[in-house]
Amino acid sequence: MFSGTSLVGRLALTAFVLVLASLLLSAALNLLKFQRVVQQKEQARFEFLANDLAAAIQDGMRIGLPLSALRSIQPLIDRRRTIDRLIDWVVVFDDAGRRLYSTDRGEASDQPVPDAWRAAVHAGPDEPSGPRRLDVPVIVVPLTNLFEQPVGGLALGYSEAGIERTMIAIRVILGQAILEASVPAAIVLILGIALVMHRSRRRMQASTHAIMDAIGGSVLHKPGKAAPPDPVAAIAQETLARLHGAEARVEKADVS
Amino acid sequence: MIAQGSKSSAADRAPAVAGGRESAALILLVVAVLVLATLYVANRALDAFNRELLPLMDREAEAVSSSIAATIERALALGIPADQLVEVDPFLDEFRRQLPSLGYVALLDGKGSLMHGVGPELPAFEAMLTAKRVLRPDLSLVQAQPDSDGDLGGRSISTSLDGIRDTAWPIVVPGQEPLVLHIGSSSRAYDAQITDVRWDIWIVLLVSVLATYEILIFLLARSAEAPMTLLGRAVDRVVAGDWTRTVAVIGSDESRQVLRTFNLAVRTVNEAFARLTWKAEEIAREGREAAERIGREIGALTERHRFAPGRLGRMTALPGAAMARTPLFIFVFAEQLPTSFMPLYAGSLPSSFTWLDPAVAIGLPLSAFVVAVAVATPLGGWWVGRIGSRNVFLLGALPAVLGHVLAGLASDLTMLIAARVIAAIGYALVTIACQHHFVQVANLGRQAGTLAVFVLAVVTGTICGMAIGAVVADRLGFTNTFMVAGGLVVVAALLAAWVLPADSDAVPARRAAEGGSAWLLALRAPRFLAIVILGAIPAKIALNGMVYYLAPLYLAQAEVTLPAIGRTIMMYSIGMLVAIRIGAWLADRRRLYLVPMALMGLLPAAGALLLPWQDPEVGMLIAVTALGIGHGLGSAPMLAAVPALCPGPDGRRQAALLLGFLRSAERVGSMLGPMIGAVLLASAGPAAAALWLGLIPGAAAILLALAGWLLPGRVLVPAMSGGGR
Amino acid sequence: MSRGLIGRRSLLVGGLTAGLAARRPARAQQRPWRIMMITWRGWEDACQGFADFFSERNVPVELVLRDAGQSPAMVTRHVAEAKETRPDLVYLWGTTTAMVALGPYDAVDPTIHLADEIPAVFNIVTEPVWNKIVPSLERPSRRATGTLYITAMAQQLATLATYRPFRSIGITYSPIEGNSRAVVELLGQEARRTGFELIDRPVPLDDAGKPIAAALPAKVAEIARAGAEWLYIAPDTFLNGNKLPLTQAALDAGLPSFTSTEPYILQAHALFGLVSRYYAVGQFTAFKAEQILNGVEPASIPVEPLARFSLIVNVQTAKRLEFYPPLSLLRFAETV
Repeated sequence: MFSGTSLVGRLALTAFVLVLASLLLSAALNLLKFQRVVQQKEQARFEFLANDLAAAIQDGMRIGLPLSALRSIQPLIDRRRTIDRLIDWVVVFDDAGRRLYSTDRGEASDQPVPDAWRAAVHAGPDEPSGPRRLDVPVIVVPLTNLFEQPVGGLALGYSEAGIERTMIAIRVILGQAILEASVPAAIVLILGIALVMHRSRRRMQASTHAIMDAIGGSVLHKPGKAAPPDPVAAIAQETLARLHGAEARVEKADVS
Repeated sequence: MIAQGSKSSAADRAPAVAGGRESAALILLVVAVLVLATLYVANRALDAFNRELLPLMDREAEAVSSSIAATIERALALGIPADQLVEVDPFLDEFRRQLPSLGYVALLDGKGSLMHGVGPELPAFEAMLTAKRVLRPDLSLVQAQPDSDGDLGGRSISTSLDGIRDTAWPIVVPGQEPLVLHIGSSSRAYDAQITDVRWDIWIVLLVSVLATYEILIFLLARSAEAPMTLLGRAVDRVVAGDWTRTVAVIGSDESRQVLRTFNLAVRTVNEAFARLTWKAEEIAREGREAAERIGREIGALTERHRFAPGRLGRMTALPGAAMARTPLFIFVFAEQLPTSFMPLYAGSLPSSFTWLDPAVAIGLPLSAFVVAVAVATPLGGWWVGRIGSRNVFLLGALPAVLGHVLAGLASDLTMLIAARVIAAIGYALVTIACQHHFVQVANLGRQAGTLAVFVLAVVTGTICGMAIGAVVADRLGFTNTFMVAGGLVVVAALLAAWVLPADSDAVPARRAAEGGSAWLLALRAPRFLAIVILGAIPAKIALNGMVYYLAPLYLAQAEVTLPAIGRTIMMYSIGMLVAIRIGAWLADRRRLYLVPMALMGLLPAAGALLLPWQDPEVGMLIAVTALGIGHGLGSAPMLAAVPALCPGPDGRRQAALLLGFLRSAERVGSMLGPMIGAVLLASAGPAAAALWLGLIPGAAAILLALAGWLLPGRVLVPAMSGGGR
Repeated sequence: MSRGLIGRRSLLVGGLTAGLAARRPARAQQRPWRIMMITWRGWEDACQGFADFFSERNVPVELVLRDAGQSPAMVTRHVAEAKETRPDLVYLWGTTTAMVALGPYDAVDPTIHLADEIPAVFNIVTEPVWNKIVPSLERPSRRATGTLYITAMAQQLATLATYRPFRSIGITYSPIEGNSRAVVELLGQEARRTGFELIDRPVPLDDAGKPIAAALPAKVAEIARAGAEWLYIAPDTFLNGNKLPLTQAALDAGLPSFTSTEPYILQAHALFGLVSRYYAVGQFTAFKAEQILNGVEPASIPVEPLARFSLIVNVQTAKRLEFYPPLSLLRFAETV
């Protein structure tokens, strides 16, 4: 791998990848945490609102009238929906799953509510009563009559647009920050590593040249020349000199 | 600190590359860039978070306001005069309690003076009021709005005061004086989470720095040192006159150039010799005298040199210790990811062991792991002798990955135990393979620093894994953390496959000491037994019982967050890291064995005794760190004491046997630790369990000291003159 | 947040639970249930609630109405008719009706009482145990059960204290009514237990032994002068017949009045009430009746109050007295 790259290149690339990985890792971990905090906050708010609405509805039932006979519910949920734009819809349904009141008039108004809502309304005896958050952005609050029998529920569907907006804004800033950090980091790394490894590289290059010199020009070198500092070059030169010397003597033997 | 593989002679000859100073400078540079960049990004992230929280806080305040205002409006609409509203404060407080991030709730009259208010930040609000820094909505505008059912989103005004976000909500009822409700959201509620985030950033930095260190070391070793070491060895040959080998061309560009040039030199020399011999042969044909003289010349040459033109051999790089270091680091890192929450995870799974106390059932995965490692290790040792460490590493990676994945997907406790057993087999195989590799490297003459490299890789991997495993689990959940661990094991295996030499060390490992003879030996050495029973085993009991089993449960029950649990447990390794050199020095230079071993037990006891007086997180931190320091101090002396206890001609073999015995005994301690912890937990509760777990090694240490005192000579370990390490 | 660790299973429960299915009896009815309703003073909110419960749930019932016109002898006559005609259930309105129709649980006379021949359900009955209608609220142990419409005295006084803490309470009542004597006794017990003063001023009786209505305002004024902070209004037939003068007198004397039954606050000027709406009580009674009709033994159906009571505040009275409720109370209270 990377068989043709220089030392500085490898080191700089690896270092940069490591830095970038660290940035991305810490960004990802932070983002996840932020997301959780933001989500919890928004959900707490919607739970508060759903509870509030349910309490108001149950107050209205205190006379004992059935859920379907209360006239105050529709304006109540409409008003709440108007105030808070992030609430997508509110549906009050009875025990059989029929939609009694809904802010979403017309659409699917004769469809029974999903089973999950009715199941959430009939919580088990050992689970705490109160709002249930389902796996989709819907909060279901059970409604009970004056003798604690479930008569239906209130479902509040909220939009996660608020959460999304917040997270997108944070992500954008994070992305910018990573960019702003990585560009100077890359530059500093390349220059710095080049600087640090400079001497080593010089030495290696000097070695190379010395050896090349030694073997290239050795035929013509006189043995008395100042020995080059590189050990390989030195030994190579010495050996070559000996060989050439021997060769010369062999030739002389021929002559005589 | 790089494994200086070459002998001193070669180091002089080879062009020194990436010497100690340069690599240190390099690492420092990269780490500095890393830290600065990460801190910069983290700060921007926190700023952004705090800013983006504001609209959220405003919405929350509006929700609460409209609820509070509804009742007040109702009272006013019924004709109750505003100054005759009864018990307003308790009413406001009811709401404030529902959303803990509310710093204050206050009711102001039409002229802006405070009528009622509750909340811990109320004084700050009042100060703001008197300083006239609080904005009020334009009441005349609101009163002019006839339709109160319209979009009420624009009714309130929010302002940021110091650290508090104030939302003003007007209450206007015809025929009554207008009032304004002020709600203050403080970011103080998030301080705990922000602190968590800050800590996590430091943990990420720690992990990044350590990982960077390991990876850069690896890279330097591969690209710069290995070639130069190779060159050094080649140069040694050449200096000795042997020109018969070229070198493999490896490493980075610059290294390759040098190596190629070297090869060129070798070839050139050999060609010169070839030319010489050819000429010599030619001329030798011409006459006997010439042939004799030529023969003498050539003889003189070949006495001191060797050549092999056209048949040059090739030298390859020897395996360095650093090669196995990074895969091992990554593997240990992966292994330790679940450590900080394993008991918690086990506790969340349904258990079919209804006849067992839940606390004990939770400890089963931990003990099962140790047992499985103990069983698999000899098997691994035998296997390594057959197929070499690289293959055993790769084979061991398979059960390791499988074990992690199954643990993450476990649907009940039994499955988790099975998964841990499988993972333990993988762990044993990989660890044995790495040990074997390091031993081979040491055998080839690179002893210095090899043990240190091994230990360092394991310890840094442990620190990183423990700390960041908790953070990942906190963000992504337990199952995903196991998956990440599995993925990292795959990475380690790929790396090992790439860098570990294949098959070259398929040498039968030294046969494991036969159990029987080890037992006999041990039983006849009371000093050794004392060390084992009163030092080694309690230490492992404390480690596995306290750090791996009890600490997560203890902290979780005190409502400490997961990342904080990870940080606390990590302190064991850091304590050990800090103390291990001191311990080695004590053993080497001062020949002190008993004192550090006693401290190994006394320090945890001291830490445990402090527990009841501290708040849980701090107390457990102290206890765990004390344990780590104690173990760090004691482990090197303990290991050095064993050979010191076996003087005589057969000493080395005996020491090897006893060391094996010691290891097995430690395993017993590791297995007992969680069980003892569980029994203590079940019978006495977390605080008492922690206390007792800390006291066990303490009591054992006192007994050990007594034993040392009582034994003839008042010395536990007879000092060796000139022997030892 | 931190404890999302243990218990990370989803909350989502799929499908219907058994409880839901059980409340839709698939029983095919061949004929409507026949219920005889013996009322004390005519058709009333509770009776309406009772009837509406069945009609809302489309359960066919045939209601046989027999009013007693406030005469115990008429009640006995209707009981005899019931034993003849054998309806599926008998509904009893009012304490006297229930006592006369059922008889004390330890002294049942089969000739004049229902005597377990036909199951019965009662409502708007005060102190069924004290009045010996059932031996225990949890287990009526006879073939009759019912509902409570007044909550326990301790609860009432606790609720009263949330309006304003008090140190003395006054009460006036007709001394010849058993219900009222029971209430005074209970109040006395609470007064001793929690340490407030009870100012007990029964209405004087005339020569015929009947309470003198004209004496009411004077009695109320006397209670106010004696330092009472609240006037407690008991469910007393005499008082019910004079609720307007009673509450007006309290208003004139500047005395806040509290009631545990709805007429005094919905139809008169009492200040504050912790009441069950009779309509809701009737529905609840029908709920129990349905269980009996479906075969559950009345002896095992407990006599219970509604789970939630109405807090009612009369704002005009509050304004006149300048005695306003706390905001927390106002949040949940009905205003009239």
